[in-house]
Amino acid sequence: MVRLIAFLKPHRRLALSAFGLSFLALGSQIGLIGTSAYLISRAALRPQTILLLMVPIVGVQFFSILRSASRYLERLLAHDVTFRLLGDLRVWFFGRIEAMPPQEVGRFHGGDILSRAVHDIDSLQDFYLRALAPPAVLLLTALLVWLVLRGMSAPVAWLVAGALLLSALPALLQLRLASRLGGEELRARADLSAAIADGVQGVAELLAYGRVESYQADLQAVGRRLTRAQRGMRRAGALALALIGLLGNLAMIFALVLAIPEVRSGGLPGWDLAVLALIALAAFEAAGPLPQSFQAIARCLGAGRRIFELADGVEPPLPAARREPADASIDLRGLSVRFAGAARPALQDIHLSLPLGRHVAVVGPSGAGKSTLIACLTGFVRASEGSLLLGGVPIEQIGPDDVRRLSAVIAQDTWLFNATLGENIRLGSPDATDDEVTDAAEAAQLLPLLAMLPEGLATVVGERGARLSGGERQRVAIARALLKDAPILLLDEPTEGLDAPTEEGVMGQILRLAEGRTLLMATHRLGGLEAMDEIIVLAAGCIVERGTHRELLGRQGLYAHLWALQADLLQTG
Amino acid sequence: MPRRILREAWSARAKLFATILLAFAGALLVVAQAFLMADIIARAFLGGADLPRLLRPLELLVAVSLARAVVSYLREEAATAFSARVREDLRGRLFGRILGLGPVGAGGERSGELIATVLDGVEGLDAYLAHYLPQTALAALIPAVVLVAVLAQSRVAGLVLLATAGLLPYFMILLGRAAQRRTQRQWRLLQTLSGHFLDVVRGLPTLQLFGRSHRQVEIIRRVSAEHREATLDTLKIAFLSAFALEMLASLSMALVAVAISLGLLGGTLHFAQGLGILILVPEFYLPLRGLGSDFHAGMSGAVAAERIFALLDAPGTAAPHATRRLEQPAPLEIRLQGVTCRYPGRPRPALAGVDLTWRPGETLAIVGPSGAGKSTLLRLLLGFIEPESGSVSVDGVPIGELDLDWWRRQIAYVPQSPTIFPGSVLANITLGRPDAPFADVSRAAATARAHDFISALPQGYATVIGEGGRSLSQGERQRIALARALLRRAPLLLLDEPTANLDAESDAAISAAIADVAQGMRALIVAHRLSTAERASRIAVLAAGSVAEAGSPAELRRSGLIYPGLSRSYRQWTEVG
Repeated sequence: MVRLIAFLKPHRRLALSAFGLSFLALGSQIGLIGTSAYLISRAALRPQTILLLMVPIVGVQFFSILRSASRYLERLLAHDVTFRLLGDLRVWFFGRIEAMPPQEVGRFHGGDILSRAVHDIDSLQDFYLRALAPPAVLLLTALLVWLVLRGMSAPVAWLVAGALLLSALPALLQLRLASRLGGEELRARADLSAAIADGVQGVAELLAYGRVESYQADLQAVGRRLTRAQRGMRRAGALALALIGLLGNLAMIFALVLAIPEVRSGGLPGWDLAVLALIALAAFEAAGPLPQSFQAIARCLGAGRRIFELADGVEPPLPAARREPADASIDLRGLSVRFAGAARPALQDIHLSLPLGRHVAVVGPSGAGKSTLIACLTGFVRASEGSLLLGGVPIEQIGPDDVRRLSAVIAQDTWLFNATLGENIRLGSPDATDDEVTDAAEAAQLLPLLAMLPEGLATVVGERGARLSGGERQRVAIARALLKDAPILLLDEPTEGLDAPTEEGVMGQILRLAEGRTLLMATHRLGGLEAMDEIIVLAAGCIVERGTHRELLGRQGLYAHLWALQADLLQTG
Repeated sequence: MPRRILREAWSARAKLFATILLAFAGALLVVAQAFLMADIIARAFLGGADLPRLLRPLELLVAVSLARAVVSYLREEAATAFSARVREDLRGRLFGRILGLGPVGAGGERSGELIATVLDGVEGLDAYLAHYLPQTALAALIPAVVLVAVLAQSRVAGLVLLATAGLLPYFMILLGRAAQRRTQRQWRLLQTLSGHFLDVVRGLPTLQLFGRSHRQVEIIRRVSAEHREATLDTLKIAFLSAFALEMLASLSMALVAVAISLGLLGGTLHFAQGLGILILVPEFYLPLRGLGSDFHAGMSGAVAAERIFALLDAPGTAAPHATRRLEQPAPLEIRLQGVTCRYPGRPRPALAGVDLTWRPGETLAIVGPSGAGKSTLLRLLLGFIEPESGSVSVDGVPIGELDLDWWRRQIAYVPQSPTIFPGSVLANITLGRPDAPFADVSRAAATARAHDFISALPQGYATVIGEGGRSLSQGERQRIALARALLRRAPLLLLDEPTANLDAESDAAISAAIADVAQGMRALIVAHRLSTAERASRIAVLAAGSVAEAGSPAELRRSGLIYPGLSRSYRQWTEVG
């Protein structure tokens, strides 16, 4: 809570102005109604001259204009605060995860954690407008009403102000009732989402196996679970609102009960009776948003807790002495990697030396540790034992940017941004000329695709590159890496998703480009490995065989077995 | 748009009417409360009445307050029930629509969007249905009730309300139209921006790899600020309509107060009447103001509704009406003659003039490079798409004339990446035969090389798999799908062989399982392995949408033009480039 409020600090003047205006609007509403009641009560007494009524008449008009104007300004300012808060939160969050040690970023990648976080940030923008402002306005209104009414009747002032504060109780009750159902709502929603997704993805099987109707019935049952939970939550909200309304009306009635004897005894002028009652009713307008506000507070606190946990979960990297690698050589000495909670190490005792220009392939069954090895070299995974030297310097002592400057990477999970094709390729080298971008696209065999697209490089690729096929996405990633002129090429299944002719073309380009550079390529396709200086066969994190293609085939071990399996494959991918 | 939503919601109209009726009752109670209250105050103020004499009306006032609370609770309950009903109904229809689109219309890149429409789109209608829609009815109903009540007391006050009410729509139209389009655009932009931020956050490792992440912070800051300014500019106009409404409401309150005072001075009005009117004036405008604050609900509802209706109205394959069945046992000879298939939006046909016969007792392997039309062929046989020209017939009867349900019961289908539905292993295997005895299930699983790993699961066949349950490897999914197909007891097997994942052990198991499963049924296999193709009695090689060559494996090996080239062991694919 405190930390969330801290985000409002830079905008405190704006927030306080919005808050002040909101209070002013409510105050003038109370003033308008009170003055009106006073006006007609005095008029009912038929004063000698209408001039006596001039002051309340002017007052009524003054309050009415003040109310609308302050409400309008308040809305604008409050939304301004909301947008500023959202912008700040985004910048802060991105800055935080950006500065995380690379291995931590790798940990979040892929999961739903990040999209959850972004969703949380979106809901935190409500913090001021929906969560914080209503209770504060209510408190001030109670104070104002107490001050105004005290001049007329102290007991009534206490009663109305007290009842206003009491309206927090139904809101709290609702929060309790709803929080229990909230979990069930989330679960039902997740189940429904899974059922819909599987149904859409498996529509062929549902049709082929004649299960359309029964699946639809199952889906509807999950949907009803969701609506049932939602209705329970709504019921709690409706109950709170009804109770708050009742509280307001009862406050008004008991204000009358207290005030009427005072009028009889002459302690209170009769015209104040209507003023008291109407002010009591009007003040409860401030209590209406309370249930929603309490829910918003609970939501924001939950979201804030998750965000802060995520952002604080890791120590920022130690500003170690930054050293520059002497050259682009790579040296792995007894490197082992063990992920938290994993039964066996992902990599164990890897020795590998890659002087500049050496070409090495890493092969092995899926899950053998190929991707982990690549991730170590880009700093996204850190060694638990042994050392990894880049240009003779331990990788931990090199700034992450310097590590990455050395290598161009084609990873399996390369992200395509929802921007144009050209922008996605240019990521490899922001200052590249158009010609250079086109050259890279050509090397990645993208020209046929570009020729088909009416907008060419200016085509927007869609979310995660959804407008491209898997093979096309991979080729964009290749073009991007080729554009980045780095001494080391790290390739993780570079031709995944490409058909055979394209694969041959792309691999040819990559190998041509790799001349004079270091190449480390993880692959499960065993074609074209004859040209490699060394092939490393990984299984379950260990190097089980190493040598050239010819040597390995002669050994009749795992490599030869994989080669036989490979030979059985038809080129139909 | 609102009319369309109403039409879609018509089946739940009783609940909507209940909502409106309860709102109407609430309005009557408001009027009753106002005049009761005014009467009590007038009697105490001018009539000099004592508390004991006012006890009756005060009790009545408490009763009215209680009734208001109950009615307001019930109204919300009815509105929620209405929204729940409509959403359940829409969800069912949308999902049915997607199933109707079939794997061709619903698969691939569109699937994410479709899922979002059924889930988020329908949920996005909630606020619209539960609040915005009833609120629009209230905005007409409650002011009318209040107006009648006020007019009955004072013509002048009533006329003030009437005049402002007459002005309101004018203001709304004047300001609303201008602002609405801009606001809608801005609102959409807001969603885009959030999506953009997610995009950048999830792509962070990629940005870091290319040393671009530092710069992104500045970009986020700049885009956020620009967007804020643009939105605020729009809101300045959008909020003007709310401002006009508030202004009108408070000014007319002031005017009514003055009018009442004049009436009291002139003796044409009693104090109780005047006070009652004064209490009612804010109620006159309340529903209109509520409409303003439900603005966002209206906006997002309209956007969600657009997506939903677009899907409901999407052209899809017409429901099959054919009812013809073949007498069993039928030989089920399948013949494709000059079949051409085209997907909408693709210039090149997926299949172009295919002639192919799948004879009884024959295991047919389909091979060919990617994009040759192999999956289209399977879809055609399953009735998921119809040929543009040419014919597909079963024992001489065109597939289009067959009862599609009956025809699909003749087929067991295993796609390349099978879907595991959330539920138990058992439910997944018995997908095509829910009443199969367990002995049959475990026998099918054993043949599919799945029994051993299933038995090793914590709850065996009862283990929950799929989303939220235990996750399975690709190979395990494959084997469950094979067991599923085997248990179906259909005469025909359509199988799209998985491409290898070079997990030596499970690859071998799957190959063996496919061989065993295919042995018991007449199979058409899209083969990705030489060994699988070689086991078939006949191979058809598809290339660029038509059958390039066909024959026994031995024939093709000897004299085929394409088939030998597809195999690396023949071609010794060594040097690259």
